[in-house]
Amino acid sequence: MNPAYFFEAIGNRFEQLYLFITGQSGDFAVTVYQYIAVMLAGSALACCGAVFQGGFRNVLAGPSTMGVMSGGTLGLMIYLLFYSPSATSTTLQAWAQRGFFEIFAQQLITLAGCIAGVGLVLAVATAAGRGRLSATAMILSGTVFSTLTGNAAQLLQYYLILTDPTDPRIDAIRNLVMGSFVNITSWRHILMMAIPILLCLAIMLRLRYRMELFSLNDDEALASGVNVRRLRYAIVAAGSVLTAVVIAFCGHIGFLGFMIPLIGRRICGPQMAKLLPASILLGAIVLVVVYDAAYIAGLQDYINVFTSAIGGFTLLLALLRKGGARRAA
Amino acid sequence: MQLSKEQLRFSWQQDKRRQRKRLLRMIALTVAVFVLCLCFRYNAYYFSDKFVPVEYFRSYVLAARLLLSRLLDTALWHQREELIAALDGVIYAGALAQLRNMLVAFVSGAALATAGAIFQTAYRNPMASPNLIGASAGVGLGNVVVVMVCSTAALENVYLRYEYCYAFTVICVGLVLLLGRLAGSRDSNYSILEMVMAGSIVSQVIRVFTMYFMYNLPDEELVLYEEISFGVYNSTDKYSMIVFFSIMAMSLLPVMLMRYRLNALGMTRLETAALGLDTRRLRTIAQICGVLMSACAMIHCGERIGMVSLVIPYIIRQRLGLDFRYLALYSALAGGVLLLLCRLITSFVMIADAPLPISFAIELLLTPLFMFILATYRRNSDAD
Repeated sequence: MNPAYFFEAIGNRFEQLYLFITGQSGDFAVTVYQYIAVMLAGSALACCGAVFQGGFRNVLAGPSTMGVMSGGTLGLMIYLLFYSPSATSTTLQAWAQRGFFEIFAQQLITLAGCIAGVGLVLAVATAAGRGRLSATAMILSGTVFSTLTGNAAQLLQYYLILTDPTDPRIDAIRNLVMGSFVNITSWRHILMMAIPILLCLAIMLRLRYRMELFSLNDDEALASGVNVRRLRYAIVAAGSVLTAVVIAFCGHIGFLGFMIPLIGRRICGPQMAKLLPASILLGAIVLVVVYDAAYIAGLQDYINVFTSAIGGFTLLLALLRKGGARRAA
Repeated sequence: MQLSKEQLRFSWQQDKRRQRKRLLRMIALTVAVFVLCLCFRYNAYYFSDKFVPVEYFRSYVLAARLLLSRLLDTALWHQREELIAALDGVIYAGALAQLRNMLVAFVSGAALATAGAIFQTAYRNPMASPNLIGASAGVGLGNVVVVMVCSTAALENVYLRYEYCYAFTVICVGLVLLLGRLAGSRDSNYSILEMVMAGSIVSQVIRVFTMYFMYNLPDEELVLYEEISFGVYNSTDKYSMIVFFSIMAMSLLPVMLMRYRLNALGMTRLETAALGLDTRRLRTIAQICGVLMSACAMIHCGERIGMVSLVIPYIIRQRLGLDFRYLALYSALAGGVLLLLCRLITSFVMIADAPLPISFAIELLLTPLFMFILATYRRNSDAD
């Protein structure tokens, strides 16, 4: 942990960037793609967190308690068990002529798993609250579900290591659980990530004035002529897509969605009209800074550790400051 | 309508008889499951080798006779080698291992379910279970640190494992309880929602760090850690058994004996004040016992087994009411039976030449059940 090492690392990055801009070297392109992916992921997660916290008036309502992450884990496991191409059966020609589904199979199946997971948890929570979403039931069922899928992933990894310690599928599980951007290798991945994320961000930004109504009671909001319940479902759908895309391409990046809106609220107040754009920008900036720090420390495959440590600390501080889950949101 | 004294006594006796009958039925079920599990061989390649009641019971009888002869100092003890050889030494050893493992599994299940019952009664909320407030995360971190320190000799260092796991569990649970109390509103002494929130945040962060440490281990140590955390490996050597049963005797027995008193935990502050009781000390003792026994059970059967402490008391509370006298007993029996049955079932499922871990089978069984109950349960008053 010599400080000179870090300065050298930073210097190397700038040198590479200079070579890339002047067109002398193309090696840096992947890094640029990865940084674009980092910014997209940060803004998506932060937007999702801000909207969910406002919509459910609870700090804990986030992608990890709503079954999105655990559903993604389940989807990835299904992919690894049933669709993963084995190295022996793939020829180079077949590899070059892959169709759209084969290239993005891992991401698409993870995405489907995310949507299924959030559907399951929300269905249980809605049934428990008899039509209304019950926050307690949501947190309970989300926690239980995420424990199950997390353990299933660990178990799969255990069996894979027992049978063959060099199996590439072990790395796939690790990348999902610890969060990394190594899967982003071409502009196609950026395109696949950017289209749904930008679309959902646009929807959220369009709806942000109506989201002010969440600070009212359901009945009061109904009196103003907006169907709050439908709005909430629309938001949940868009937010799940946002998180699901991030999980499918970059793995779990914990606590960013919890942390950014808390910081944003201190900067520009609780009004959604300002908070949402601020959160999106802040999310992109914070995740880029965290990713850079992780890269320089050589831990770019363990983003989740960094974000969880920072985010958990921030969240606990917020919990203590405001004295309560409901008042903090 | 006014009841006469005789009628009152009659109905009271009838209630009592009904309760006793129900309890007897539960105990009979437990004994039946225990005896059934005693007949099975845990590691067998063919299904025809699985069910060996005659040989195993002969071994148990011989073990009992040898124990008695050792205690009474008769001549039988000196012929033990011939007797065991006559019975086939492998079968004898297998039978005793099965008995020990089953005892550990039963007591662990009972302890986890009882710990869950204590916390759910004390906080009057199903979300307060030891694994949600950080106990299982603490045990996991302790296990991974022990594997890092001792490498592959982690299982031999029984005391070190207990020390680390307990240290991290105490830190986690203490942190969560403290944060819950600090974050709670000023008018009530504790608030469950804040505590569960703090618990989920702290245990998620700790779990991420545990996984980071885990992925930095070399392959064989990683497999060892996963075996420990899933409870594939049953440590039933002499020292582990001594530590396990002494900790259980320190925590499970007092709770079972005090279960009449612990009923006071379920009352609100106002009610206990009206009765002239001070439940603070009782609450502290019960929580310490709960953490102690659940951590010990998780050290032995894997930290991922904590789901039992959430689900079993939740179901029992719904079916049989909140009376802690019965809640504790039934939870303990049901938890033990569940673990025994799961252990029996998982011994039939072999993946990659290793039996399916009990903890995963339990989760696979309990999660859909719990979600179904959560979705269909009609609450009288919505607490949140």
